[in-house]
Amino acid sequence: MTTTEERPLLDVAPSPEALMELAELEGWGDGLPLVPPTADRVDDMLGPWKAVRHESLGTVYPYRGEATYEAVAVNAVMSGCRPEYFPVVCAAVSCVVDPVYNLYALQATTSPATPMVVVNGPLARTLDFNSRGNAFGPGWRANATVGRALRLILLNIGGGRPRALAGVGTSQLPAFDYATQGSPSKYGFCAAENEEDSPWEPLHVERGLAAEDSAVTVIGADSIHGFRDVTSQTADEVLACLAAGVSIWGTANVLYGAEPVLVIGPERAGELARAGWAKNDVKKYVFERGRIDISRLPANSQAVHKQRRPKWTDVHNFPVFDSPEDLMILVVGGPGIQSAYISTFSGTRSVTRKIQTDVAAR
Amino acid sequence: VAKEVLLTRDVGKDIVKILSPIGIRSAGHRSLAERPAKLESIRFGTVSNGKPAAPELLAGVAKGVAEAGVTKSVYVGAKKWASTPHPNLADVVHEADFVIYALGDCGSCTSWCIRDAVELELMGVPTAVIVSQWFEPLGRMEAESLGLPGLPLLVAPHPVANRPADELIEIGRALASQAIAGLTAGGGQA
Repeated sequence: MTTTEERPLLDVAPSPEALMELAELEGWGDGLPLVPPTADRVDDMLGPWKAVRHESLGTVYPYRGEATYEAVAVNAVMSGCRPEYFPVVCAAVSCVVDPVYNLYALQATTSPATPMVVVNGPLARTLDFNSRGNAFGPGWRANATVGRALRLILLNIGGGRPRALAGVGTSQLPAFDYATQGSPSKYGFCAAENEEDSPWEPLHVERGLAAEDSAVTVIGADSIHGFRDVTSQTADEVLACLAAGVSIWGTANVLYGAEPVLVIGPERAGELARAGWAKNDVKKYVFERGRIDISRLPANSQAVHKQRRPKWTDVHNFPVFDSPEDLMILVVGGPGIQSAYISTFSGTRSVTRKIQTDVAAR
Repeated sequence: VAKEVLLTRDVGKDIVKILSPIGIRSAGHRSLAERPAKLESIRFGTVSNGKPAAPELLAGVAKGVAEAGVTKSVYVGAKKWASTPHPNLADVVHEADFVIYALGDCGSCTSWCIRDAVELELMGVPTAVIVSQWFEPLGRMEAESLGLPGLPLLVAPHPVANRPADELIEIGRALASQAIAGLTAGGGQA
């Protein structure tokens, strides 16, 4: 759809602190400094998308603001994105507005889940997204600002402000984020897959796109739960540790299934591949062996697990997800033995979209 | 450093004009379903989203509305997952003339209680949602955002799910008069 309403213009003094004060007063943003979204900066961000600035990528629930290219660009400017990143941000937005992603529930959840953005394909390298050491950590502009832009869009267009901020600002905006603790991942959670050092096909190829396509996948993710496997010397040992690592209680996955993520560093992935393990075989192994014994839980808790996942009856070998295909495997990181588990939100499916750099082909 | 001191740095400098980052919404006010005038021969339906305590609260409301003269109560069933849409609202519409939907006592489950209830209202079935007190503002904001600010909410104490069954039934029973007010002509908050 195309919107016609004019975006309000506001006056602000030029110092960075003045914009921080205004943002706090208006109930904007994530609490960190923002780049002022002046008309010229927003136009620079839009670039060739200026011609379609009022066209919407979709409705951002629960506030139901329209993610017009202009609204997305204003937030991308504020987050510190370079204009080259704009198509990546747009692709991420088109992922989260897909109904199967269930942003409507994710925005309000008491759980710490948040959109995690994975970038694949040649653009990840051209735009210098970090896929190696500390890829999910700080210090890399593309990762930091694209992840943050998506969060600002959820806050400002979708109303995902913390509950306590309801009614603040001149526009008395509502606040739909009811997280009990929240998570630092909600400031921005973005990395590229390390395709160069991965022995396996990248995520976007697994999902039907061509290797030369560039794509974004957005996952409804909890935070990183690191595995310090300091002992494994064989592929079998690596696999046994990965399966043990996902066998943890308390995640939404044990209660609902959904689509958890295993992040394997290139060293461990290489060891597995050299021993003949394809990515799908790893998924099958982790599915079969990554079971937990829910019989140690109180009876009413066991009953809820069985009610929500009636397919599984063996309380001593209760699976963490419902099928090998539901496990996502990403190769991310630099040298080191580390791998990680990222449990996921209950009512969501991850969404992959091609990054569209051609306005005419949108 | 006081805010006033910081901002004196900008005295005499040009004001910058910036674009608001807030989403622009399309107007979307919609109407609640028509309320029945009388309670006789009305089929009262309860829908659970599978959250613990929902069945007991609904049983309590059913008890209360029966005491008020509703003759037929039907249990329309439970959702498997509270944080996803109801898979078949048409079945609910087929079975019931007005509905109590429970339970919104977390963020994602409140969200889908409200959205399913809004859909039921738009399909012609008056629907009230039981929410726990902490999530009442969320439910109200979501109903407003979905164009039905008058959607009846029945507010249970928070936390609610950790209470014994007999207490939950009494909490539900005490909500029955509000439910009837919200779901019949002349009642509700619309």
